[in-house]
Amino acid sequence: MSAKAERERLEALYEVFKVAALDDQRRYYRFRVDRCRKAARQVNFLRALFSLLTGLASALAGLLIATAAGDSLVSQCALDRLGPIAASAAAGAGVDMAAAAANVAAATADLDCTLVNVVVPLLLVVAVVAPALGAAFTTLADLFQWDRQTQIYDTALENLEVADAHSPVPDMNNVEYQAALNAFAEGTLTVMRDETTQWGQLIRTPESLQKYIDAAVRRQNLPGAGEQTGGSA
Amino acid sequence: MMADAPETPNASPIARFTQPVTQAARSGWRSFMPAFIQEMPYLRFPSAPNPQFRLIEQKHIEAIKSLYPEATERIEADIAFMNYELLRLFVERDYEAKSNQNRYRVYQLLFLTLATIATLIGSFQALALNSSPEWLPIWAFLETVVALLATFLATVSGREPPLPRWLDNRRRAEQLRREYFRFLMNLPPYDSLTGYKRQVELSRRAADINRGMFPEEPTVLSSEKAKS
Repeated sequence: MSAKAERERLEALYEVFKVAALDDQRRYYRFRVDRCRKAARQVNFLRALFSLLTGLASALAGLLIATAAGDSLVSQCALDRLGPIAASAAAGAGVDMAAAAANVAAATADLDCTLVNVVVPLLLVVAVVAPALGAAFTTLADLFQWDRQTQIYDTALENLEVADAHSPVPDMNNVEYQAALNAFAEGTLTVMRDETTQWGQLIRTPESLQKYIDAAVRRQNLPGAGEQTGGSA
Repeated sequence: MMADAPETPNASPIARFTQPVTQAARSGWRSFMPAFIQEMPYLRFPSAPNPQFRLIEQKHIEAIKSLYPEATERIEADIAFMNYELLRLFVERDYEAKSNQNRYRVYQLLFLTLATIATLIGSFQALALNSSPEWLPIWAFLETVVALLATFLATVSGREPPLPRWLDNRRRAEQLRREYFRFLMNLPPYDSLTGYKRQVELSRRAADINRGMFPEEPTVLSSEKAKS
């Protein structure tokens, strides 16, 4: 093969490798870094939001109950709720409690129990639901490992630039061009290999989830509790 | 009027292809969702790998062919050989890895949902103890149902655990991908072989990788040392 033809072959190989291997990997790493950063940020925001909601709901419920207790609102609203029940029970037992029920109704007629009967229970529900959802998002972040992925792909991107720095340039003679092309290709393949190795090490089933799965397996008395999802207990 | 963007001096003539090649499913509606939702697994995953998938797309080859018409002959011959000897194995391994990754995440998310529901039911049970004890049997029943569902799911997911299959297939697929470019670039061990021997070596190494026997990935430097 003539030197010119050999040079053309090397240049063609360089173009193919650059586009199909290096640029493709670079696009993939950039895509993953961007996606993982966004996902981690969004989930972190939701975790913080649910944590904030938990605190606010608990504090507000405490404040409302303390205020309502100070105004005897809690006991009066309880009386308001229990009055009709007591009257109905008494009527069922054949006892005439109509007068007593009427007295209770008169005593609580102007009472606004929305705060005690609706708002406080709602706040309690938020105080119970929000931490559970926050914990779910924490486990989700553990499952997908977005922060670690960002770090791995970011490092791979940087290393890819080092490999790209070995790209052959047109002024080189054929021997130099071939050597530079080999270094460039090998450098890129090494980055790909290192990234795969590191990536494989971060995939683990979150500990909290693994415990839950193990408990479910134990209930069924199945063997190999730690192997059910192949995760690390 | 805006001026045209200046061309980068060393820009590749085929740099206009900007999407990474993948045989992963792409769903339109997800692109409008938050990033973490786009990461969620698919409930309906393709039932078979895409046999048309290529690591080097035809449009790339055509673009290079237009620049170096004679030099691409051997590259095309190598690619055609690898399409049968290596690429079909890569496509299968890549699909298996993606499929098991999807399955693993579906199961994990179902467990996560059940664990969250169990936590919520437990909390409501504790609240009901004081305020509405008549609801306790219902909460207890729901708790039992969730525990039974978790056990059912653990039993179902226990068969052919997806995590080791995902990792194992991904490892093989990625080494097959590297081997593809190693052969194309004539890197060691292919640099010292010619003709059918070079092709046989690729077939042997690809088959080894496919069965989980990972051959060494020699560098030019280590190859030179070995020769001397």
